[in-house]
Amino acid sequence: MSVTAIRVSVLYVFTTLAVRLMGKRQIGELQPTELVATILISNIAAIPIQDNDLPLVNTITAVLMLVCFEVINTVISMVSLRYRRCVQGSPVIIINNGVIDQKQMQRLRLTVSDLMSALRQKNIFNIEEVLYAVVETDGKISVLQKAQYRPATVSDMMEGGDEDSFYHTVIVDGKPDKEALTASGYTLQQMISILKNAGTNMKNTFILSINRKGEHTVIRKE
Amino acid sequence: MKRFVISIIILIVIACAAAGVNHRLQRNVNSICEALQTIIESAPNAAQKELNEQAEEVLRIWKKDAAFLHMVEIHRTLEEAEQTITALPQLTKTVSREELILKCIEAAQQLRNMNRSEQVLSENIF
Repeated sequence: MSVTAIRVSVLYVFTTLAVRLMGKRQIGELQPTELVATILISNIAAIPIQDNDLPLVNTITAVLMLVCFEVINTVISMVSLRYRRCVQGSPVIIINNGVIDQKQMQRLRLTVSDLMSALRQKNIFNIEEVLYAVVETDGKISVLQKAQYRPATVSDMMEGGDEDSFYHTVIVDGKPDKEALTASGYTLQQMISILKNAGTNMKNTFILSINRKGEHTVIRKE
Repeated sequence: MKRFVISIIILIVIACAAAGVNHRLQRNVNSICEALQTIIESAPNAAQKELNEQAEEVLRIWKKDAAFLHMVEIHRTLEEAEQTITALPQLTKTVSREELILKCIEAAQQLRNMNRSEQVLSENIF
């Protein structure tokens, strides 16, 4: 049982690292750790079904441990932004104002065909229509179209089309997200000033998201 | 946070249970091996009655621990040792002393190997 427990721990860490190294395009719709837990649990649970010689207690121990690791991972990810980045990665902008970031594409080992396929699935057939395309941590591609190509909403009809409605989440759970801050084009001092005007501070802010026009949303911690 | 604490508790319980299982496994295997060793040492000179009693003693110890061993060990690793031990009372009467000693050595060795494969050693983990 001790050997099983240690082997499960080693395999969990090793498989998570392997999935992280494989990159976002291999993940599908799950986070790396969720994928690892799913793969390992399904395999571990299947073996004793096929082989009656194996004691069930080892399987139960292994599955229980994987579930615990997954829960611990999730909680630490909620608390620590650095840990979350390390385990899950961070979203990557691959199209900015109709221009493909080829370096990021290469880094993600994402082909143009993959990108075009993802865009077509969102009824976009011309890259120029895209304001932002972001590869999420689960490998999905989120796309924001330029205002002139987006279906009009009631808000657009009343206020006119808003070109840059891409909001960067610059403060999460009381901590600044430096990457998002850089991408947003604002400084930390400006964020502190916005929070001060909103009658709060960084520590008490759950989320602060902002777009290039300075429109922002502040959600305080409960 | 509640789930986090529960998960940590479960992992601690698993670690303690694993250590407990290892300790009990080692103790059980040692007691069976000691009983087998008694037969191995006394077989050349012991009277038939004494040998029968020793074989019954091994079987008694085995029966006491068999359920636990089957719960924590791969069944096929136990099978050969189990066959020899459960047949020991008959073997003392039907086979030669040399053959009996050989069977006992084999059974003890299988149990020791099984025990060794459960020890927290780098060769067992990797």
